[in-house]
Amino acid sequence: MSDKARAASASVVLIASPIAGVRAQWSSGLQEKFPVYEAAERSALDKGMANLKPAILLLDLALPGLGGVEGVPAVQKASPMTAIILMTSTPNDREGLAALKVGARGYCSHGMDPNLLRKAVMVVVKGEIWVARNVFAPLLEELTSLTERRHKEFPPNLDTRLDRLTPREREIAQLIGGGASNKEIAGRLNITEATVKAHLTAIFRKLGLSDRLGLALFVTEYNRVSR
Amino acid sequence: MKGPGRSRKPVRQPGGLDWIKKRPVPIINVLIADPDRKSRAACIRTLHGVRGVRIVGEAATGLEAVSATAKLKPRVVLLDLELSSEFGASLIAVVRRKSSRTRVILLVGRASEERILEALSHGAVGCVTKKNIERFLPEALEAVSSGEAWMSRKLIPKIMDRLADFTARAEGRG
Repeated sequence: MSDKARAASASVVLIASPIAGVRAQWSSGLQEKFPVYEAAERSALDKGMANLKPAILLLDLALPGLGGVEGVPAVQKASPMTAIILMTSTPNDREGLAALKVGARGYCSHGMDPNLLRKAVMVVVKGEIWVARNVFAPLLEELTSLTERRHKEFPPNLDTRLDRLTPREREIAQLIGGGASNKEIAGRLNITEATVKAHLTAIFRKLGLSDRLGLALFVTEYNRVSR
Repeated sequence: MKGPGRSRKPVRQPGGLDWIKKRPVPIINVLIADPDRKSRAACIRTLHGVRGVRIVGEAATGLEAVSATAKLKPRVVLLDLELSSEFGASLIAVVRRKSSRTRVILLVGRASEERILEALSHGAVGCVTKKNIERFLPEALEAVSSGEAWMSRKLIPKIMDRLADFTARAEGRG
């Protein structure tokens, strides 16, 4: 038996829900593959977590005494390595996102088909995360907005990169950003095109860019961020 | 000449499921931005005949992608990841600024997850590997144009790591 198979075969699953029918339904899809234990109330859940250190915990968000998603870290404490899959009868994408943020490795609907639930558990055992597709969008929105906020606070090295340029080079970079050709720049600054090209080469080297497009975009972005 | 009323053969059955075909669907306008002609061709081939999808333009460089987006305001841009990171992934930010309704799906050849994440951080909402274009692109388009995101669930742990990192840094400063 390979290490992986052994690890999978030893994956204890703990199911915590106050409703017997729900526990039975969840375990029906899992029993074949995993040793399954059940907890009907909070105290049994805590005991199970501490004693079994299960690989997976299927946790009903309606469990009395849990306190919803915010209560998850307290449950986790007794067995930090346990991957928690939260089960809800009213899935919604914001709660799904909140579930992931408190460290849950899955967020599923109560009524999930037992075969699909088994698949979800297997995926989570492998270290992946199982959430419904509609959680992906708010997740990415969060990532993008945090990234943008961060870029506004700390423009991503734009300042320091642009600091490497001489004032003349900066002037030329701005003109490129405005879409000017070498000839136009030469005319505007009263220098030869060859000089413009020489400046450009230096600018590309200093900024680590390879062409005008890159520079034009860089300047556009710089102006946007610094605005 | 036989009039349809007298013909014994049914000329056309009223009802049936014809209405489904006739029902107007919102058209998804798509711009393909990829320097590799083969990738563009694969997208066109895949989307040809997909109901409700119209390819409105092609771009082979970042600059073309930006100007075509500004002009055509496509619902979806299929953007080669290499192209997007030509300028530190912020080509996506530029594209989104040019047309706020436009959603970006990355076309990924061989790329590290790190670069995909970078592009997602800048606002791409979909990610399809080039070898899976035929299999997944129509699905991805459908999802993204209806406001969902479309990517491998394998990316989610990495995204969570990034979010945690943001939080940790924010707390570290405070």
